[in-house]
Amino acid sequence: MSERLGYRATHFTTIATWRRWWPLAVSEFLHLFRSKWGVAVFCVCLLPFVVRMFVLMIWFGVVEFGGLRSHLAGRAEMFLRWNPTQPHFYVEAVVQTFPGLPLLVLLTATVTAGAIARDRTTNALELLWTRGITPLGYLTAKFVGAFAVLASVTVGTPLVLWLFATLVAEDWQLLGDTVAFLPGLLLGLLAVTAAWTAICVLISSLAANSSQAIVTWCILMVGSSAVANVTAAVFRSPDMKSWASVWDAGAVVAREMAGVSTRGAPFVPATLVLGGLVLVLVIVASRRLSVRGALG
Amino acid sequence: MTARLDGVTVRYGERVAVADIDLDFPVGICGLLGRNGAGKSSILKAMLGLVRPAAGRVQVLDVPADAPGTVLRERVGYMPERDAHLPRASGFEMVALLGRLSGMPRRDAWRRAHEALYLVGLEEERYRSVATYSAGMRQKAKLAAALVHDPEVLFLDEPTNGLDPAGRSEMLELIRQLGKEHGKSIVLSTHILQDVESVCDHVIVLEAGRVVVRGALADVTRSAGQEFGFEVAPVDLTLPAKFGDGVVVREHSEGRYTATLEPGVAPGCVFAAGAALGGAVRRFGQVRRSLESTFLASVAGHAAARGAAAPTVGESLGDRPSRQESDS
Repeated sequence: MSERLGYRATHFTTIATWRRWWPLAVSEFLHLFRSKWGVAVFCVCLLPFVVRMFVLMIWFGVVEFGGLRSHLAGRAEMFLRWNPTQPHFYVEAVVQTFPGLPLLVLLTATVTAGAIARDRTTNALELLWTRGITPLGYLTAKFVGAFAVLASVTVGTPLVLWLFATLVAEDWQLLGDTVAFLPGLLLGLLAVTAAWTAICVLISSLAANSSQAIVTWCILMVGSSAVANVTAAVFRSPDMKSWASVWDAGAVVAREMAGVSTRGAPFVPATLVLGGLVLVLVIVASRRLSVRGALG
Repeated sequence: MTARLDGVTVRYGERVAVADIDLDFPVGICGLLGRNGAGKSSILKAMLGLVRPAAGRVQVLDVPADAPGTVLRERVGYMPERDAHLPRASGFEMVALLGRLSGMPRRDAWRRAHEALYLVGLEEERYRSVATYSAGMRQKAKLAAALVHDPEVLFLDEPTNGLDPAGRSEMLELIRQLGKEHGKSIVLSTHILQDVESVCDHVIVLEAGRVVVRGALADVTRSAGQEFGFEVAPVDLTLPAKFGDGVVVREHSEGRYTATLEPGVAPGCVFAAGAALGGAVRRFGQVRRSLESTFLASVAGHAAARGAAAPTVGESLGDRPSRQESDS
């Protein structure tokens, strides 16, 4: 081995400690695309976007589809979620009960649930801790990498839809109609994506392996919805259904910030549910994600 | 001095892994020897700042092991005992990423990752996923990762685990080369005595979290008492089993003897005894013990003092064959 190429000393200018989590974040971003399964899940999650892109082309007459354009235009108020001048068109691509939310849950599980659990399984944490990256830096890298993947779907696709709609529209009227709600829409989607990513990353830091993390995440999403329904029935408070579950709270926050009416849905409790859950998980994970924990 | 431990105690809950030890790791290649659970890995982890000692102080390269930030870790390379790799990463990606996390700019980390993987003999496999590597290849990848940022000190925890004989020999040769030719200080933690004998300048033997033997390898393997080996001429000359005051003689084979002299007895009495019988003593020299016998004797002595069972040869060596004592 040593006969092939002798050892050589090297000299380099050390980069600042606070910048070192960036390569790990990039690695985390690319991780999904290293497997066929990951790419397949990512492509499936783009389906609502593809459908809306098709609708856009019909709406603006790029393609003809059996008079569907006049049908949609004539009943624009009825089909808000298919009307590109309305925020529903963009936000529902992500948070509609089907297929948007289930796909997002699937993508989050695929991208994020294993982020830290798999490093624990392969003892990568022991390698990383001896490299001068702190648990906080590590957590930041995992969060940013996973967030970038998820945001490319949840925020990137509505943005691309809007750009496409603006460019193919016959005049600049669409731009005037939509530019008012666009910042709130993007911020809302960013906030929900960030909250879900944080929750899933933190669950991953608590789980022993990827499978456990995925199952826990799914149980949290579906289970909290079931608990919210039961609690709402017990306390006779229908509103509770839409904020007491992680699933619905995300949808409420995104819709509210996008300016989409949700019949007086409780934005503040929903935000508190998401924020509170992140906070609790941060406290629990900070104990679990210690150097000593990584060493077993 | 590579590292210094002052009164260090490491505990895992109620269990004491390292008990109040004072240690200096000299410059050069130092073997940290001991049975499983003797405290070798705990000492390495304490020196890396991965484990906070319950008591005492640890310094590596004159920097406290618990120094904040990355001051120390940039200067130290660590090869863990356990199988460890980054999931779905190729050998090159893993080594380059760990280099970047050690503070290397991307271009330097990439160049250096190629060099390190060439050095350990993984140049053909560097773009393959580490998950598909054999156990030996993973050991080499871990060594490449430990070397990528050109550290001053290397902590190698059981580096020859899982290697075939040729791979083991190559690994030891590389360690020797790094230590002797490139001035790296290396702490080699192992339970394989032959690895220590073949590359180390110094040895520290641990047992139950305590140091039982330490020193230069040559000093440690020198017999504790005055034990000498010699030959007589003519070969049929028969020496008595005891003669003079405090000289005990054992015959090994025809004409070959070992004499154990009590303190204060001059070796000249052996020559005089040979001459008195009408013969001569030749090839007279101090007996040098093997590291194995030193290890067994010291650990057995420590175990006896604690009232515990002494290790057997198999326990001390794992799967390695035992070696005979050799005369110098």
